[in-house]
Amino acid sequence: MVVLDLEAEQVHQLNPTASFIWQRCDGQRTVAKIVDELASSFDVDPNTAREAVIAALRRLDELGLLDHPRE
Amino acid sequence: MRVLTLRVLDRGVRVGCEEPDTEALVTAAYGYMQGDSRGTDLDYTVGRDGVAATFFIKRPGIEPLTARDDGQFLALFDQDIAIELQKLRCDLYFIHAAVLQRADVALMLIAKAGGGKSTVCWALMHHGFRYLSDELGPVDLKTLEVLPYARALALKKQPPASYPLPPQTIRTSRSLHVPAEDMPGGISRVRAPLSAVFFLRYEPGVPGPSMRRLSAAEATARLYANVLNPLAHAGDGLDGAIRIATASPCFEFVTADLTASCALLTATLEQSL
Repeated sequence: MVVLDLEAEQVHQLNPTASFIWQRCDGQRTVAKIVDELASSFDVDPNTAREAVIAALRRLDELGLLDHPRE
Repeated sequence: MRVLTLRVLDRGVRVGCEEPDTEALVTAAYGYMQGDSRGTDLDYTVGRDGVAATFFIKRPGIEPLTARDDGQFLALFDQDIAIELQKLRCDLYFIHAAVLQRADVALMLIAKAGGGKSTVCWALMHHGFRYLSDELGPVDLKTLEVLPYARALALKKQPPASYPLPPQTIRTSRSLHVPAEDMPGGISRVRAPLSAVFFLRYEPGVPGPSMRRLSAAEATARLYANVLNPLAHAGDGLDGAIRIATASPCFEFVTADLTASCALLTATLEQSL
């Protein structure tokens, strides 16, 4: 998946895991739900999935690719 | 059986036509690419089933393709040859684009299906642009030159009266095909350095056409979405899109009145050269 950040004028190429996680950042799913779905789809144990999701979310946020919920 | 020998992207394509209808269609679409037979890389046999009147396309190693009418026949043939050429020339970066030439440089027109790419291409040829391709823009990423692919121009509908089609236009069930020999601006047979890329969007309700220079990032994303064989290239094809987008000015081109649109593109191109 390629993500275009128009504001920063950057293009990001996400690997399959990051693509999977980013597509599920829809404002509806919780982190726990994304972890469950990743573990199931990629056939990995929950701890590995959780580490991958948290690392990916942290990185996506650093890159400015995530919107934060309004207070 | 009449045999057409084509030379396409430096590969030999043999098309055996078992009857006149298919011969006429293939000749109209690909006749300008006829060349010497330096070996056959693709070997087709085409014709019609006398009983069912369906068209068929045969090639060693595949199940025969069948088509109910001339439009579907050409569409299937175009698709198959385009895919096979991408395999044979996986060194080239194939973009779904129309390509024209002016002052020894090439420009690409990219649009979604029905976005007016072929119509604008046809119109520009009346304003001094030479034809390289209507569907495939094969790019040599080492030199950023575009290779010609002078298949007939295919339009989905009649263009405005100010840009009439020639009498030799072939009308099928799906589209109108202008043989390469009838291009008003002539055809380029040689590769040309890519100088600009225009992403078209047709907006009939706007007062006039407009042009917006794109950032390299936005141009990369748009180009990447139109690459036909990205996985054959480094970085799953993204590297190629970046290379083109950073080397060539890219524009979002909202088209409206065709003559005004051609004038705007011409002026934009001349400023960017």
